[in-house]
Amino acid sequence: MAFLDRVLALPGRVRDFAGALDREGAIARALNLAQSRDLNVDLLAALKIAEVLADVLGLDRAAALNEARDLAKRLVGELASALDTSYPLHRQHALNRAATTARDLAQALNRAEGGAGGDYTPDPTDLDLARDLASALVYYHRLLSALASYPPVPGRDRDLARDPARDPDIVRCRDLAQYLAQLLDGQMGAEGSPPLPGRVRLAVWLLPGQWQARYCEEFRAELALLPRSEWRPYGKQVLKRAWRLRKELAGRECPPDDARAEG
Amino acid sequence: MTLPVLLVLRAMLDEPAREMYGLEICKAADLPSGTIHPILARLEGWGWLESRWEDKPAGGKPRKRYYRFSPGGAERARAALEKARIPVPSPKLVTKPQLIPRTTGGA
Repeated sequence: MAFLDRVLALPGRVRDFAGALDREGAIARALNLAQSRDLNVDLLAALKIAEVLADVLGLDRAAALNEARDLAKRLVGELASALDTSYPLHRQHALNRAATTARDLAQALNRAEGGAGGDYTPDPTDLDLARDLASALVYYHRLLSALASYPPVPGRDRDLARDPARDPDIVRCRDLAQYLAQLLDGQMGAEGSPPLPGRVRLAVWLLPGQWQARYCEEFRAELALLPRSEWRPYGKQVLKRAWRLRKELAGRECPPDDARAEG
Repeated sequence: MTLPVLLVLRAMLDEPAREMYGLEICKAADLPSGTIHPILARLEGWGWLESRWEDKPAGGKPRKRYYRFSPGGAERARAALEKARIPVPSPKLVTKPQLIPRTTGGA
């Protein structure tokens, strides 16, 4: 869970719950509205990672990763379904399916890494990301199963389903998907620009929305100056520091010219 | 102030009037590429640096982002380096050095 530990601080909370599932205190905390909201935020974070992951995997054409790519895309759908608040019990079933899919995905990626990928060499960081996501979802599954075995508490499902930050996040997910689709179609970015590696795209996406276009173009320009062999360490460093950059930019207004950068 | 921030300031003070892009600053500060953007964002946030896009790069390449000291930024950077007891580089000469006239005859 290294990536999520560092970037999203997700597994800390998940492990708090998962490590203490047999204790009354953990369940009481999970039933608390604030904790439930945290879970929802974490779920959204997992959904975002799944979307990027699906795209990263979708970029390659290796037969061995086809299954993993399909599973990742299915995972996106299942997580989106888990966010549907129309039916209180719907979320748990969707999460159940997502956890199974995540396990299958981790297995498929393990097989791909074992050399079945033909001429494609899987990026170890992307695979780590996938496994982190799969592990996190398995924890969610265990947590929600434990919650389900407890006597029903009025309003609990509504609390789990309600999150004021949900709509803007979903809008961002939609925007991201549109952006990625455009990127894949080669309709975005200046002619002659290199495509952004997955880790750099993920780093850009972790930044506040109004700053994404500026840093997308800035990173792209720097990549164009680097030899291809240095892209991977560059992407690694950029992603590692994305959270810090996000903190520096938080609360600052992006100049209109930068917000309209060519990306 | 962290050491990487001080290294960036020192590298930029080498030629305080010059505009530099991120990779250039990384190399000058001897930092790995891709590590510098949070530092530059912080210095911009403090108002010590300002940045702008490159004007129309050739061949449809993406535009670089150039950074330079804002008015007063270099002085603040020098003060920060002095406070941290890091040697402040003397700015490279931009004007032609003046010759000192020799006195004829000697002592």
